[in-house]
Amino acid sequence: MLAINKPTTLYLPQSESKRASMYFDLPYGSHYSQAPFQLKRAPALAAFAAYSSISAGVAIGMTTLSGALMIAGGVASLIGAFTGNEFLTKFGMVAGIAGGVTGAFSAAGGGAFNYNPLTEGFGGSQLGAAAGKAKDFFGDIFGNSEAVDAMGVTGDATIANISESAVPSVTADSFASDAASSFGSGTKMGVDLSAKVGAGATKAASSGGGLFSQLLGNKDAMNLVGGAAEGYNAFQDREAQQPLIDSNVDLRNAQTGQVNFETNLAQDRYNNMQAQPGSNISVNQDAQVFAGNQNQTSPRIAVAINGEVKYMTTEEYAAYKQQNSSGGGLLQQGAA
Amino acid sequence: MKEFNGTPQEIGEEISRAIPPKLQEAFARVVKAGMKVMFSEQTHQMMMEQLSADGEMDQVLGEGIAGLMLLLFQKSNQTMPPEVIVPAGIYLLSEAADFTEKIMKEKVPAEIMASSISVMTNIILEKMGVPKDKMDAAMNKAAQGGYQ
Repeated sequence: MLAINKPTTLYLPQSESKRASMYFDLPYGSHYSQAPFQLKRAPALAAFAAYSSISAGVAIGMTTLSGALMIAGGVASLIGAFTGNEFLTKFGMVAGIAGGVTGAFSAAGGGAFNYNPLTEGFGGSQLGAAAGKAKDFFGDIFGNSEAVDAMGVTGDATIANISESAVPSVTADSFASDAASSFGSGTKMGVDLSAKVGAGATKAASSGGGLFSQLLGNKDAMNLVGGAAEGYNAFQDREAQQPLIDSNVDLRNAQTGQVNFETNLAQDRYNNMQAQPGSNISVNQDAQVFAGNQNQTSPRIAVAINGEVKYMTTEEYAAYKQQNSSGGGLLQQGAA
Repeated sequence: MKEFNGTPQEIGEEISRAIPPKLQEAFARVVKAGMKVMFSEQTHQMMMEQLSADGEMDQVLGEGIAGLMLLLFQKSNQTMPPEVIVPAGIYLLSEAADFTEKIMKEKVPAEIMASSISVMTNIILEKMGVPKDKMDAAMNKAAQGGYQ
């Protein structure tokens, strides 16, 4: 069925008119002016602004947070220094401090992450100092207990200054012994596990020297390395899974699109089956839409009465004929 | 060395350079998703709300981009590396400001950019579990050489 909407003219203040035109995606003012077209393609930020206050939190680990701060810190410092923005200037400072953890341990390579202490001889004291500052910072931010838990640092001692007595004596032999015992004893496929693992661990511990020995001698540093490696591995896992997630999302979108299409198709078919011819199909039911007279419900016909043309509805004409059987004849029929 | 003027384009370039190679791909993916959401045909009507929103430009930009980043993070089923949230936010903020410059025929000052980034960063950090008061205190301590 043909549907014709009668145009409605609203007279609004200019600002309201502009707002309404954009809301309903209708042209405003001159069709040749640029602003409405461009504005309609401007970034839709306001809708997201509300989301910032209602969205759930972003659960991240300490290592991840230090990485996040460190990347943005350099640019924040730059902009802060240029504009005098106090927040960005200070943010740059703490980002450098917080990034001490990531900078010290990440071997990701490149940019802020390109320092590899295992290959570039990062000294134990530097390691401890950087991590100690970061630990202080995170302690201030999250409270000491959380920072301690997250970074594996006990008490108020920094890694650099931790007392020897607090660290169990770890030697090459004891490390080898621990490693062997963790693998268990016995023989598998003719190989003495204790002997093999123990020997390998002894060799690794004794030949490492330098940083390796220092790390082995400091359980907190080991925890810290473990935490950093864990965070890095988690990130690697996420990265590896991303293509699969993307493809699943694409697949789901495609399936949703197909379901929507089929639903629309079924709806159209149903509507077509339900369509019935109207009782008055020879008359355009929308013919009166623009006539300006909403009370006029049926077309009038022209009749000749006593030599004069009169316009009346079919009902009026029928009544007239009944009263005056010899009345005039029908001249024409059609919409008035 | 190229002079830095704090324009949106320069800030976008700077933050892109700061991304470690390992995160470049994730960064690009997040930026692409953000651009798609910001400039898509489906969301352009929301711009009306932005233009009629009360408040300063830095608040509108900062809060808008922060919300967008959090939305993207949630929509990624939290698989988006959190490290790229703030950097990608800064980049998208620079894109939004750049666009605003073009349609308004008016420069977005570096101070507004800085303020927008501050607003956005504060919101995101709070969502990351960093309380604002404690962050402010730590920043003041850092400024006074407290972590030396």
